[in-house]
Amino acid sequence: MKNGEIVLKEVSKTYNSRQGRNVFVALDKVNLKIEPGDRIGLIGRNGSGKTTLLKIIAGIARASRGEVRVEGKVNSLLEIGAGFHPDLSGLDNIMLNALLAGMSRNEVLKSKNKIVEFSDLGEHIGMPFYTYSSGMKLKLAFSVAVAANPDILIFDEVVSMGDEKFIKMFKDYFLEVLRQKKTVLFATHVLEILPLYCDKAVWMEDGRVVMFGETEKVIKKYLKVKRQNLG
Amino acid sequence: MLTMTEREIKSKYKLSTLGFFWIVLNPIIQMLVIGFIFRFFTSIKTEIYMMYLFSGLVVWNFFSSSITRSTPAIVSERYLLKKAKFPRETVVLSIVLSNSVQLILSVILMILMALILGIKISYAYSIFLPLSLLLIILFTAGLALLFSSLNVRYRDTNFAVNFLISIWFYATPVIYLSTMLPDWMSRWLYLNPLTGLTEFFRWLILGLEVNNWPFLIGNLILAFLTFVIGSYVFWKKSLDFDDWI
Repeated sequence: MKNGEIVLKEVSKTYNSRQGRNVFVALDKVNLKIEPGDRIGLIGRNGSGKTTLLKIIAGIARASRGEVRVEGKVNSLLEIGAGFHPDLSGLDNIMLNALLAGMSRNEVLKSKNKIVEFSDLGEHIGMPFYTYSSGMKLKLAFSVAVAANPDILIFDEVVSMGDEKFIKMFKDYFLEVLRQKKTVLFATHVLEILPLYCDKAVWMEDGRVVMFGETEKVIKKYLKVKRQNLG
Repeated sequence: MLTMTEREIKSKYKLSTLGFFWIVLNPIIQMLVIGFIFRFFTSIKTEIYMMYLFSGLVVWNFFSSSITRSTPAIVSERYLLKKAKFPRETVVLSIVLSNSVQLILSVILMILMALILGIKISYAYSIFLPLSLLLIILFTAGLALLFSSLNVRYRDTNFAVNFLISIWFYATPVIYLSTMLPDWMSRWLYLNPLTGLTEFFRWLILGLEVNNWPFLIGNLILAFLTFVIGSYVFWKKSLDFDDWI
């Protein structure tokens, strides 16, 4: 397998309730083959299994059945502010977050200045993390994610919660990622921006992959079915 | 791992005015209060009892604060665990490790205090002191891993542990000497590995006689086994943490 490649064969994920009586099927025999450098958008309703899929690829959750093969270093931005400590300064948090992202101590020390520069936080970098605005938190998270230099990048609904300024920043960041030809997985509800970032899309429904193909085609079909259901 | 520990220590004391001074202050005040009350009950010479008490409290405080802080740790750090992939044990071990730094500082303080008070410290076996501390830390880490991983699925664990700790204090010779108890009773104390660990530590540093050597050695082995079992259970459970938090 090449770095940045992802192969899922018949992957299922079930959750048991605490009493063990009810079983919830989050993923149902998902097959997916993602080539290195692919930029994949994930669409589908809430609860269709997007986040579970991303978590299994990121190695946070374990598949109940099936085979998961992920080659290369994975970095996941599943939520802004995750992996940061509110009481520590921006600088200390860079170290903490970068280590969580799989960098070594020496690597962090070497690229620390670059991270600080890219984050554009100025004198705020010495302040505790809890004083940061959400935009600042995001800047720091992105800067570390770029420096960690992963083969596979995973985003979950990051863009949908931001404002215009945020989306612009995300775009700048994404251009940097595109330049580096990473494999990208990207879940969102904002369909309009998907063609800008992704060349392929996965449409999920009830834990199954309904369609996997070129972004434009998948979105077209998705909207058509959605309209039919409404009408 | 080291950075998580650093984070733990820094974030714990950074915003408090007295900072690291709390590490020192806490056992001293405890010692003075308990020591003051107990002088009415025991006929032992006060200075020696104070040292006895202090050494017991040093071990006990390390143990109890590590356990009570670690047990809910996996659940309370859920936002980290659900969003990033990293070795899960770092969350628990960084708590134990940051407390270990306090433990070692307290031991140094204790030796200094004994020197000032003019109490004889036995140096004969002091090469075993690191071993003694290591076993205390391993035992605590083992239980911390065990409880924290069980608490993910069975949230009652945290309540049970808090309850257990408050009883455990009296089942460990911290404020009393095991030789003060009748023989049949002190034997039962060795069911608790912390008894052996505390006695071993006191024997090394204060040269106090050991009640029952075979039982003590058994305790030390049990402490190590606790670490092995705790680590194994944690590793097994950690694969599915995400399903339950």
